Parts: sequence; C-alpha cells; structure tokens
Amino acid sequence: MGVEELLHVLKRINKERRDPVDEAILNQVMALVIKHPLDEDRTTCQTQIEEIINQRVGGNRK
Amino acid sequence: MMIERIKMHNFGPFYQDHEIIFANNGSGVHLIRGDNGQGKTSIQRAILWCLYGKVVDRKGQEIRPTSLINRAAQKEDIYQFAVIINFNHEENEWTISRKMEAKTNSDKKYIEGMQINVIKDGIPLPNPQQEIERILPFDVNRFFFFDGEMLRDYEELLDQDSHAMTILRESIEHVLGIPYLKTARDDLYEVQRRMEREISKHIRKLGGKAFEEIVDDFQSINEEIDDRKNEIKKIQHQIAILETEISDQKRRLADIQSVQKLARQRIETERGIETLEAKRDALMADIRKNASQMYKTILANTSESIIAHLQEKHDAVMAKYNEKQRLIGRADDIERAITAQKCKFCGTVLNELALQGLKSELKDLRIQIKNLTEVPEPNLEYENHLNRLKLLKDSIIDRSVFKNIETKIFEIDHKLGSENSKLVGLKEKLKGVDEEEPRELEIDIERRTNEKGRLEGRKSSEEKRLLENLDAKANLEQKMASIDQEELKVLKKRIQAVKAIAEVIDAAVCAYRDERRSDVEKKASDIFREIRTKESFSRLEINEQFGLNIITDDGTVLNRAEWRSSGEEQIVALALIGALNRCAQVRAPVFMDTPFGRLDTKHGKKVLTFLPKFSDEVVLLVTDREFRKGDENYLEGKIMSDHTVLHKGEKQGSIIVKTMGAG
Repeated sequence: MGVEELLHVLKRINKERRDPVDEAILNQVMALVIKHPLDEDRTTCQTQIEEIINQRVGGNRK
Repeated sequence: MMIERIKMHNFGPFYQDHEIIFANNGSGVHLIRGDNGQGKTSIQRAILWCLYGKVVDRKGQEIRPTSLINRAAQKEDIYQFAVIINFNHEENEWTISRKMEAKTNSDKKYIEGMQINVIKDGIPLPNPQQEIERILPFDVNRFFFFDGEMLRDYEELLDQDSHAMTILRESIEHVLGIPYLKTARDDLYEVQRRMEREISKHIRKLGGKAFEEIVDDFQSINEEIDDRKNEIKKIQHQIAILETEISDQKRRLADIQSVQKLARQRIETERGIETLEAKRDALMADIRKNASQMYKTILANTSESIIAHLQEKHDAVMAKYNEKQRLIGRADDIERAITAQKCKFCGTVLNELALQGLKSELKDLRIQIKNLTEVPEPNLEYENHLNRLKLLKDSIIDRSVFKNIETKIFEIDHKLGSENSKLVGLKEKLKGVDEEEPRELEIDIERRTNEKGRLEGRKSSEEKRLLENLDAKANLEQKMASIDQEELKVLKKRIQAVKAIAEVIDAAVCAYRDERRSDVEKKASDIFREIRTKESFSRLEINEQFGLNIITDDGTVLNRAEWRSSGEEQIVALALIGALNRCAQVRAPVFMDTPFGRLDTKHGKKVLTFLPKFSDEVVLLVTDREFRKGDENYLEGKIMSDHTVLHKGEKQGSIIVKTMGAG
C-alpha cells in the first residue's frame, strides 16, 4: 500500500467529472503535499503548488 | 523505516551504556526476552522518547524526565541520559540522538537541557523534530509501538462516542493517509485566495481608476468571505465540541438512569427476599410442628402389636371374669334351692339325694369361684391406653408431608440464593451514586443544547451571509470579466484550474476514506482468518468508527459485548492493527510488548506463525511464559536477533545479552 491507491482514487474521481483536470497537476500537487505534510510546511508547499499551477496553466507568466 | 540499532545511556533501568543491534539491517523478527520488571518495556519507551521527546505510561500519563533517568546514575549525581537510534529510511541512513542533561535532578532543568539531533547520510538536519514527524508522525506511533496489554483499549475506544474516540479515529485516518487529501484541498484553497489577491492587483493595474471601486469591493468581499469561512469553521468546531460533550453527558445520564432502574430493582429484590424469607419461616414452623408429632409415627408401628397383645390379654381376663360371674350366679341359685329345698324353676320339692347332689355341686362351684378370684376386675386404665393408642395410629404423619415441605424450602432457598446474589450485585453497582447528578446533568445538557442551538443559528446566518457574499463576488467577477486583458485571462484560468483541482480532491476525501475502510476490513478479515481458532468466525466487519464486529458462518454479527473472551478481543485488535499497518502510508517497524499475554497456546501459535507478515521488521518483547521453548519453530527461521534483558540489582541495573542457546 502506497500513494498509488490515493492517486488512483483521485484519477477515478477526476475522470468522472464533466471537465477533468490535468492528471499531471493532480499528481504533482499530491506529491508535494505528501513530501510536506506538516503544519510548518504549509507556506512552502502552497508556494510550490502555485508555481506548478503557473507553469502548467497559461504559460509561465506572472 | 528499519531500526538497526538502539543505544541507551542511563535510561530507565539501564545504567551507563547499553545497545541492541537488530541484525540483517533490522529486517525480520527480533526477540527481546525477559521476565517481568527486567526492562523490556523501557526499551520500547526509549525509542519513543528518542523520537518524540516524551513517553507515556500504561495509564496514558506522560512519564517525567526525573522518572526516566537511571536511579544509580542519579545516586552518583549524574543527571544525564540519552538514546540514539540508527535506522534506514527510504534508502538513507539516519541517526536520531536525544539527550537530556541537567545540573540538578529537576524535570524543568532536564527539559531545558534537552538536545536533539537528526542526521541523514552524515548531514545534520536543521529542523530535527519536523524531520521525525515526516518519517513517523507522533499520532500514528500507537499502531507501530504497542503494548499487548493495551490492545483491548483500541476496540474499547472505538466503541465510545467520546473525544478519545475522535482522536483515535483521526489517528487511523492519519495512518491511512486521508489527511494528505484534506491538506492538499486546503492548500489549494489558500493558493486560490492568493491568486484572487493577485488578480485584484492586476485589475487595478490594468483597469485604471474606473475599476478602483470594483477592485476594492472585490478585495473586501474576498476578505469577508475568508472571515466568514473561518467563522463558520470556528462555529462548526464549537458545535462539534458541544455535540461531543452532550453525547458524553447523555451517555452518563443513560448510565445513571440505568442506575436508578437498578435502585428500583434493589427495592423490589429486597421485598421479594423478605416475602421468601417469611414463606420459609412458615414452612420451617410447619416442619417443627410435624417433627414434634413424629413420636406418634414412631410409636404407631409398635402400637399395633401392643393393641393386639392388650386386647388378647383383656379378652382372656374378660372370659375368666364372665365365667366367674356365671359360676357365682349358679352358686347363688343352688344356695337358694338348698335353702328352699325346692327347684327354683319347677318348684319340685328336693329329696335328700338331690340336696346332697346340689351341695356337692355348690362345693365344686365354690372351689372353681375361688380359683377364679385372682382374675382382676375390668381395667378402665387399659381402655384409656387402648383408646390413646388407637388415636395415635390415626395421627401418623406421612413422610411425603416432610418431603413436600422440604421441596418447597429448597425452591425458596434456591430463589433466595439467586435473589441475594442479585442484591449483592445491585448494591455493588449502586455504590457511590450521587442522587443529584441526573438533575444536574439534565440541566447541563439543556444548557449545552441551547448553546448548540444558538451556535447553529449563528452558523446558519453566517452561511446565509456567505452566500450573499459569494453572489456579490460573482457579480463583481462578471464586471471584471469585461476587462479583456490577456494577463487577467490567464490568472482567471489558473484560479479555475485551482478550484477544479480542489473540487476533485475534496470529492476524493470521502471516496478514499470509504475505499480505505473497506480495504482495512478486507485485510483485517484476511489476518483474522489466519489467527483465529474458531472456524465458525468467518470474517470481520468494519463500521464507520473503524470498530470491528465478528461475522460468523451463518451471518450472525457478534459485537464486542458478545465476544466475551478478552483473548478474542485481542485477536480482533491485532487483526485491525495488522490491517492498518498493511494499508498505512507510513512504513515503520512493529514493536509488540507482551503481545501474547491474553492469548491461549493455540492463538499464540497462530499469531506467531503470522508475525513475520506483520511488517518487514517485527520486534517482540516477550516473557518466557509467552514465548516458550520451541516457539522459535513457528517463526520458520525468521528470527534475526535474540536478546535477553536481565536485571542485575539496584546498582548495576538491567543489562542486555544475547539469549543463551539462541541460534
């Protein structure tokens, strides 16, 4: 049992949506959160999630 | 995480330096043997203390540092103790060392002088405690380091509707990785807020003065929405606390009400006992009365022959008496005839010869009468005796009378026994009951229910205002959408993406929880089937609270109250913990302190055979009664190290040696 089951559920839920989101982003976000699970990590983790979104959606412009 | 070595210095019963090396890089089964009180549990505590800086006793109370330091060291004025763990985690070599040092033997001084270092592949890390939390969070350690004696507590807690149950359920969710999804969702919401603030800045920049007002509104509405969401969250939290308190109090009240019911039962039982005792007394009086008449029954048997004998004697006497009377009558007749010299009947004058004959007859008669003069007169006393004996015969007491009374007394005694034991039980349950408590509880429940109602009202009004805010925000978004700028489009697209991802993750929380629950149920059932001894126990069923029921072959659901055997409860708890380990997002060794304490030999063997599958590294802390000679065979060569803890006295403390004769 690892992260696979968690990602599997996420992918399944995503596929059931009318407008599924990019699976790669889902994976990256989850990987980040799993790597940074503590309360102290939140700010760092949120910044990195924002960076991923910026890179993946609408090009890397700020 | 695979623990390879533990070093202890002046920790608990271990004076100076002691270490255990778990061979095979920690992989496999490791035995730590020792009689009670030698220091096995202290080894487990040393690891937990090294990881988290605190350790609790079996009552869940934190053990103070002054109780952790070795006593012999204390006596020598050495106020320093330490634990070092070496382990491998995700293919990196880690060392955690924790030390407490003080100038005096004081809890405060020890805590002030605590040092912790975490070294990964030779490099010290800056936030050691956080690094440990990443490897094995404190909340989940109970599923890896557990005390066999406490196994029942898991199921007991899961049965309760209390704060402790909530903490345990959250720990289970934690070990299954559910908080990852919740954290990801909340992080995305925060990212969305950041982006919305960003969009405001851009709108200001791009839209010029005309948009100032809209942007300000947008900004303040966003802030209001955040505040409201926080407020709603806060109220929800308060409601949850109140609900827990109300449910705790209701349960207490139900307990007390059942106690009141018990009090009524006690009064009824006492009355019942009084009635039974009165019945018993009456029956005993009957017995005494009948017993006092028993001599009649005893005499009755002999009275028959006495009556016959007396009758015979009486008849003989009467015969003689009657004969004598007859002879006296005859003699009188003859005397009168001699005197009158004529026949009494025909009047014929008697001649000399006839007279001589009569005189001779009279003489004989007198002799005969004389012979019969010794015969007693009819005896009235005899009549009395005879009558008494006849009456006595009529008063015989049948044995069945006693038997019937005895049966009744036996039945009453039986009832009295059961009623008295019921009364003892009731009195025990009623000890220390506060009669005022139900009323106080009802008042408290009412007060809390009112408070809950008030909070729900506030929540619903906040939710209503939140909806209004969201509508206003949507209107503003529409207005802002009129700014046809590429930059804004991109930002909006990103916000939409973040929202969509957060929605997917939010929807996955429940789905993932349900899947994990059913996965835990399946794995717990698999383990249960391996370690059970009753074949009729088919599988385990998991409920919403992660509590488990046994399901039998015919589909009967056996809940905790029906298992009865504490060994079976331990088996179920082991199955649950085993399943949680298999489903866990965390990989760590399993330390089991006295795991077979409540198990019989059959269950013990089954659990032993299963143990190597529990985790990659399993450490058993066992007594010789739990782990008997030959039990090694059940582990099929999986034992990688075998140590024994021996207490050598107050001064030397405990030592750790390789077990004699171990392979």
